[in-house]
Amino acid sequence: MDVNRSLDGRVAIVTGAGQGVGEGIARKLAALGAHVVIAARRAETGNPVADEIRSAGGSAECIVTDVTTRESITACINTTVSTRGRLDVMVHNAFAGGHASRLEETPADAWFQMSRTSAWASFWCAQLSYPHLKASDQGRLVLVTSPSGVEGSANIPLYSPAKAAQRAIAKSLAREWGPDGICVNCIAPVAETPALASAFNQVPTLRGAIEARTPLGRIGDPTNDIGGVVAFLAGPDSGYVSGQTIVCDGGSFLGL
Amino acid sequence: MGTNVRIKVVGTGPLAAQLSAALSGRGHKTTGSAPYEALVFAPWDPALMVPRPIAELTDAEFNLAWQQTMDAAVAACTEARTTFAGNGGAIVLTLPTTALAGGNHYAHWAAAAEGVHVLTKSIARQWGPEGISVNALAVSPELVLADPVVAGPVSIATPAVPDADPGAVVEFLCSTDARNLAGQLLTVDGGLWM
Repeated sequence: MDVNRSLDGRVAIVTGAGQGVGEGIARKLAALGAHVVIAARRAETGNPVADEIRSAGGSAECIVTDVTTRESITACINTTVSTRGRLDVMVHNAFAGGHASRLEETPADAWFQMSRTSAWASFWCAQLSYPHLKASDQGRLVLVTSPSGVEGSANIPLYSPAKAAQRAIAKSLAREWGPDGICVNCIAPVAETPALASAFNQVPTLRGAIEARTPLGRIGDPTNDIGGVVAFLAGPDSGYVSGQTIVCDGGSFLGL
Repeated sequence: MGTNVRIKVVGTGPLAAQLSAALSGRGHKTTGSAPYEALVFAPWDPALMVPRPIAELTDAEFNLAWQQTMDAAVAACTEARTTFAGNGGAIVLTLPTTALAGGNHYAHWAAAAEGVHVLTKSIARQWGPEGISVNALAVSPELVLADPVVAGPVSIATPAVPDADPGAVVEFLCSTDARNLAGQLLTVDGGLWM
């Protein structure tokens, strides 16, 4: 466990934490002392992450959550608050539906998944966590967007606006919730994840293109490169940071 | 640019009316149906764009703002590409600067506006090789939000251009003179968003 225990006593929910970036974020928050709810769509991915965190001395549990429905997010938050008594940090990371296609050929169900898991789920996670974040002395909402949500994507054209919406929601809520002392921010990561591996399979030239334009010359690690940034946004040192997007991509996108 | 460009303007609110009038006044033919050489997507309507704290926002309101706007944008752009029939054309997507600055009690409409903004970049990248120029025009929230004061200031500065008019800029973006632009955002809000 980290010597730094800046999140001791905090309760965090991380959606999509059964794998990839969400898993990395969950591991880092737990390592810094937070109790972390692994809000995963499938118990078979979420439970092992929670088990491994506990084995390492951390505190975690898996609550099976489907972020495409308001009811499931409600149940996750209610269960968390009823058992832990508080919710300080809400991290919405889960995403589904991104597959390479022409805009005019994008399947309706793919767009539905992208829209639901990004914009709609951000709305629901924000709305349903709000009273608890307001009650916390350190309420934090972190939305996981993407560099593509800033610069567009020729490969997955609707992925970008779905991710862009999250940045606008974060900016708006930074204004709206500032008087409540809640900070709302985004991160835009590029990391080694099953989703990116899938994208590499769909677009074989993509890995080389990303690596070639990344000054740091590598693709990020979900726990150490991404989780630490979210831990900062979740912790006491970010209390004057709100409405921002931190791009965690090794320096490849410089146009924010 | 020359005159007599056929331009479809999508939208029923005051912004669409203002842009249509500006384009007509400059000698272009605005139309509601094919054929046309340029599309202007301007669905923003103060009658619909009412503020709502997110704690009170209903699924129906979020659907109206985010989902219906994005679905309409995709449909309009896809139809335009079909209408252009491989001959190239121009697509101009408008948005309030609320997309960029956020808006207090306007998360739902800010999401839609920024979605439209970045959709511009995606399809500019994808359709540019087909000769379709896709760009965006940002306008002041004063033109489209029901309550821009509630949304909060874009800037604490006074406007650099108090009477900024987007008419000439939308005409430029519809023209072949803008063919070397792709995925760009031109902001005509008096200089508040920089």
